[in-house]
Amino acid sequence: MNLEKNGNKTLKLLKNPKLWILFVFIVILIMTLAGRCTDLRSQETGNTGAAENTAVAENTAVAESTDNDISDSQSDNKVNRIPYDPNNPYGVFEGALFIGDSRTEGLRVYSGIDNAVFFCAKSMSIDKILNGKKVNVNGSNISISETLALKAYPRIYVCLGINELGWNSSDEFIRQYGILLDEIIKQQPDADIYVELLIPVTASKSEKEAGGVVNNTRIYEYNLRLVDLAEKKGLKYLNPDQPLLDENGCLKEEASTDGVHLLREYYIIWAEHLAQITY
Amino acid sequence: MKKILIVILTLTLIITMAGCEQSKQTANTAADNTINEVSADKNASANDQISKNYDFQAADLAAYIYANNKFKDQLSEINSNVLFEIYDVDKDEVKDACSYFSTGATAEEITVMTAADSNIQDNLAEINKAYNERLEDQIEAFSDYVPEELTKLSNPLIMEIGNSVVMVVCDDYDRAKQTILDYFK
Repeated sequence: MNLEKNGNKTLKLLKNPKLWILFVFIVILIMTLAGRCTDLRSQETGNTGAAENTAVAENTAVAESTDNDISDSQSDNKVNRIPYDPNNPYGVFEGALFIGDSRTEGLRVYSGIDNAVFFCAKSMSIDKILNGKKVNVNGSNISISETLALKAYPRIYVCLGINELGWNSSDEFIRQYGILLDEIIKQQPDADIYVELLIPVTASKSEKEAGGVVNNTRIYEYNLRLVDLAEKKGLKYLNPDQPLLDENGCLKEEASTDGVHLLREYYIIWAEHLAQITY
Repeated sequence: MKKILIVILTLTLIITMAGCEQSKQTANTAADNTINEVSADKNASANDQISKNYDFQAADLAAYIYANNKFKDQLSEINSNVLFEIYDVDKDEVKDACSYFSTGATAEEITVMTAADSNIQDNLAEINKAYNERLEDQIEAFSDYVPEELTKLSNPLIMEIGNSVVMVVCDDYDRAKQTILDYFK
């Protein structure tokens, strides 16, 4: 009897429209508040929040590319890799692809390399690339997948990390970098892929950022992780910083106005040394 | 009791959603203000003019502007092939061009382009369009890179000199303008 009474009461409540209205409002309120909390958390974590919220699993814009995207030119497995020639140092970059951030953009603008493709932009970072960020490549705004699908590249140089020094840990940086490398390997199986280590910043910049992130201690840590990553992936790595450094292993003060970006003549030195050490 | 609860929850919901809308609007307004200032220049195509057509070399004027203005960063002349990769303008629309870019640390820049003689007005329009697209790209790039640079990007000097258009992105707009006027005295 009690069960029956309770059952009837419940039925009455369920039939009450006001109760349903109340229920809907509570649900909407909770969802709205939950959305605000997520926004606030993203603002607090900054770059790392962007990294954490990035869809970097197999469903990313990069990973969604399929073999169908690869042009006919890539079905030809022969890529013409020109060896280093001191009489034509930039010949080694013939047909190459450079992937990077503002420093790579400086390389593009000032080094005089005019026989390669550049996929680079200011503030470029791994998560932006994996999220499908488009940049101007030979007059078209395209993503990394579309850039990799353009043609077969004999050499691909990847230089990323300066803009990720502020991430909570290097683990996420390395994880996402690994995803990018996997995609490059998949789309460009015949390319020689080079992980370029980060060029240090000037001593004055590093000291100024001692309590921050854009300092040479952090760069050194990231470079160790990059070496490890390259070795695990069976890829080559290059450290092009030797002629750019002072006696303490910092970027020469005279090489930069802000401690990070290079003056024109030093972009040329970087390019020439990179060509020389490419193997 | 139920009615009171419904009223209270409804009011809370309205206040919460109004807060979200306001912050979204504020963010949009801030971005819109930055873009609109550039767009104002886009609509005018140039924010100053010297009507007389002078015969000069783009490289010469660009070097003069660089030598006679203060820039925070070191600017260097870029290769013309790179210039036409970065600026969305065809080589056959431009008779002469020269550009000085920064190291990447700032948005400072000097660009001088002279329209090709065939279809001068169309070519001038294309040059102005290319300048404004460059500004939009730079604003997008610097907004989360070095946001302080947005101040100078929102107030570039774009000056038509006869069949040429000069763009200078720097902190001192007035000095840049006077430098150009002095060059043509």
